[in-house]
Amino acid sequence: MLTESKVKLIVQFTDPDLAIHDREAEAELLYAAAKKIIGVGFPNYVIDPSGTTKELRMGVELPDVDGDRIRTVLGFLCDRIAHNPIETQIELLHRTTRLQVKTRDPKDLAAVIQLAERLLPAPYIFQGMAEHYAQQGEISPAAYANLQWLQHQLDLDAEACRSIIAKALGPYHTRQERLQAYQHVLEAEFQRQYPLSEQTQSDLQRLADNLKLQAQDVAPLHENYAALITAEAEQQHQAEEEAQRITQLQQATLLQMEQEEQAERQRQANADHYKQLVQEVLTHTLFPTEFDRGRLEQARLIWGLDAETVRAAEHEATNSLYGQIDSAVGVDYTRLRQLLWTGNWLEADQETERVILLATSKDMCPLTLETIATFPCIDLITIDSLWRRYSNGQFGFSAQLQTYHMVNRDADDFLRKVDWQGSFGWGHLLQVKKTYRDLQFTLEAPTGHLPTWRWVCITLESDYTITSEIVDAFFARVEQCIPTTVPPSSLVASESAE
Amino acid sequence: MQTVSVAWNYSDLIAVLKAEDWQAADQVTFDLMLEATQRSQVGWMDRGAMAAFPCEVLHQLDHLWGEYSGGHFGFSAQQRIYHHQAGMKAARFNHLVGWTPWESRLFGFFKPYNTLQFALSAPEGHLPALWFWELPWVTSWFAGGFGTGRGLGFGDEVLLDALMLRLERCSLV
Repeated sequence: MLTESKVKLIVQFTDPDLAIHDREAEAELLYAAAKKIIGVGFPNYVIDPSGTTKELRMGVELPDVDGDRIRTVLGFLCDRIAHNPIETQIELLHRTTRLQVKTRDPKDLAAVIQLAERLLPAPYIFQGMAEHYAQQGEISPAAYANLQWLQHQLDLDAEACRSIIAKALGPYHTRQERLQAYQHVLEAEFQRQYPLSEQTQSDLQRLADNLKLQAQDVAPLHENYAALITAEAEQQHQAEEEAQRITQLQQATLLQMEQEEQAERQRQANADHYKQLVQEVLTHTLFPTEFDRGRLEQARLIWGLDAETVRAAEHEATNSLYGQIDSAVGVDYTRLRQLLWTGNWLEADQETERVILLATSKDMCPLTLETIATFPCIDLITIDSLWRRYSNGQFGFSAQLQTYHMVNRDADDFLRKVDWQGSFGWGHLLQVKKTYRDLQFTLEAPTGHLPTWRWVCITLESDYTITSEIVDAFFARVEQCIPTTVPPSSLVASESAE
Repeated sequence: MQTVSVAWNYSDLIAVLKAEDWQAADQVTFDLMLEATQRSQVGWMDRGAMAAFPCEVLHQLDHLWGEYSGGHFGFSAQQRIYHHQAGMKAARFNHLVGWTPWESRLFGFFKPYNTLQFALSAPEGHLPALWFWELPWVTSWFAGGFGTGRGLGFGDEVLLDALMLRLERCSLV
């Protein structure tokens, strides 16, 4: 397009009288001068093809002369010839048109100028200028002024000129618009494919050229997008890795849980087996034989049971066979259970005192009305149930409670009924105090005779005395802890007593 | 009666025991016992106080007496005699440890305190004794002590019994 508005000028010195050496000198001078003219492109030397040893310069070629500079150049040449009449051949080439003049007369050349100007139609000249200025990407104010002057000179229509300028600039008039256009295209391309193919890259390069965008404008955009894409890719990659790691972790955890569950089930199965074995061994006796103890030990070793499991299993088995021994205050009733099982009533009574003092008192002090009121129920029930179990209901707090109800809650009557106090005479006039040694520690004793309440006593050998306040207070507590033992028949009596 | 958790100072007792000043040791022991049961103002031990006597102090006093008398004196010695030789009979015990001139429940009377033998030649379990002897003035009259403690009066088998029961219970801890 640009070539359409440019003219090629070839100036050759054809004077036969001119020596070769002079011809060369002239050519060089012309070359130097031509270089200084604006708008004529880069001059070349015209070489004499007949020269063999050395390049013979016979003229200058101006390949790209702007349409509006023809006059200037020809004028310049005119002056030269006028100044130094050498026969010169001047050729003007524009597309397929060729204008040639060979003369040493400046007047001839002057005449050609007008013709030469008509080589190019005015719009083409203007278009050439416009396109030249549009190279920068936008028309600067100076460029615009030049174009206006040219329009005036070429006598062109203002509207036509505007459309030529618009066409030269292209669809985007400012650099910002061009950048944005490029950016959109780049974005679209990056979304379509990454990395960009060779074809796409060359297309984008072409677009940048067309939009007259420099490499330094375009490169940052490329970098930005490339960075963005890599960042996204990295994020995704990390997210995938993270997800993978999580699933791995989950799987590992699941596996571990399964293994633990299985181990637990096995442990439980072993514990159950052991429990069964313990029950089997303890069925007839609380004190297993040496042989059975050996069996239990072997079982513990084979099944690899830990101390905790063993203890729990043995407790459960013993409790189910020989009575629960729960405590609210961490007291161990194992020995009491053993003594009752073997029927050692005296020692069991002493042990009962020991556990009661441990359970209720800080320093093994005998119980008072206050401490009786806060006797832990669970322990009370445990002691009662053990005594009851191994005496077939004859001994124990509940047996004593029944006696208490039978005598209509009279403390003194109760003490006499369980044979802790004797009496002589009519109306129980004379009280006979007993000492602890006077009490009976056999099954022949009256119901409720045992366990004694020595744990409220300060002395035992001088006398074993229970005051009526203690009796009432203790049974109040027993009733709180074991409410179901109140027989229906005495409900009426107790109401009337209150 | 509550146990007071205080770090008791036995250095005085240790000093007199080391010096074999048995009478002084008896006094110091009695003072400690009163302090332990918060009866320093009251000035004498009764059965209730004995029943709630702090086990820790009891053990320590007994241990010190036993250590410095070679097991001849102390609560353990008295307990031993009470259970194994006296068959848990107070009158018999009182005689065996040399507190009464003869063994009798009804007709025995206690020696005056200052006539006790404060030497290792005394019978086993003879000391400590002041805890048993010291009585309030009124009780002393009732006990027949003519207002001078237990001396020349009748014994309080309950107090003795209370000590023995206390020793038994404290040993179970």
